[in-house]
Amino acid sequence: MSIGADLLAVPFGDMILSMATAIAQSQKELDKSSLVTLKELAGTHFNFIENITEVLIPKPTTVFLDQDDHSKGSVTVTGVDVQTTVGPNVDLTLLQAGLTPTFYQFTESKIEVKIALHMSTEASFGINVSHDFSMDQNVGFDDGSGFTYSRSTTWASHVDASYSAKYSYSADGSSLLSTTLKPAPPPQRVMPRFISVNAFFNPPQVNISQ
Amino acid sequence: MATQMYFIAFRNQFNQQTSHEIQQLVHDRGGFILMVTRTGQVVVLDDSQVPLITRHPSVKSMGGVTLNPHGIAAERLKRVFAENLSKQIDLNTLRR
Repeated sequence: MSIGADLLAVPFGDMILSMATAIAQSQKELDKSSLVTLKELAGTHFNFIENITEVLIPKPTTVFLDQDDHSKGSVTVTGVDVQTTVGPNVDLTLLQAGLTPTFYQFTESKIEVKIALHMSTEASFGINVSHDFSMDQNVGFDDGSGFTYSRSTTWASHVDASYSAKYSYSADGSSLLSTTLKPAPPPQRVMPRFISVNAFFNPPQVNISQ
Repeated sequence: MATQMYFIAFRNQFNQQTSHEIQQLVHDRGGFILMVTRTGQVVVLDDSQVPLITRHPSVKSMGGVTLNPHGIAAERLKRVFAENLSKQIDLNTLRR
């Protein structure tokens, strides 16, 4: 199998679809959870005292040098009288006070596929040649009439050839799917706009916050 | 995302014992209590500990919260949080 075919065999389309579906479902659940928190914050009340007024009034005090004998004179000591006025309680929800639910957003997703291919070929070829040669000669006389001569020759040749080949192929694959989750500002349509009118001032002070 | 600010909402009506139990649970998991109200608590906790807290039967929901600096009482909340946090941080541990 070629490298190109291996890469084509990776189901990229399925992986991307699965990941996108998972992210979409997770995002939906996270948004739902943030909206639940939003409701809880809107339902949690606490007493907010907006103003505590402290008025410092000079209050000089006369201290006699001798408590038993006032004729010895006296000293005037600077004193102060603090008049504290606590403003009215304002019933606020935590949402109004400034606590908002955190919304999260998947900002970056990554699919990484790694394939390691190992291919090896090993071949060996061998030839073994051997030769055998033998010759026999016979010289002799037969019953006195003549001379005899005979010769025989033998020639042998062996050829052994061997061929072997080994081929191995392996492919290792790994995939990595990662995604980044970050806090995001709440959607504007989800968050209410707070308009506070402070009627203690004339003209009343209007504060708009989100 | 490590440490975050969360609001833990109680399931039923306010109960002092339940409130203490959850505060103790948050504290045991390395978190801090920033504010306690009758319907829930604002805490600071590592996000890996959230599933453990949500498993408590009295916890209705738990979600991340952010302090909006433009909120009407944001400054006051910040002060309340800081005051409560200062009571829970052991400076000797930090110095080590």
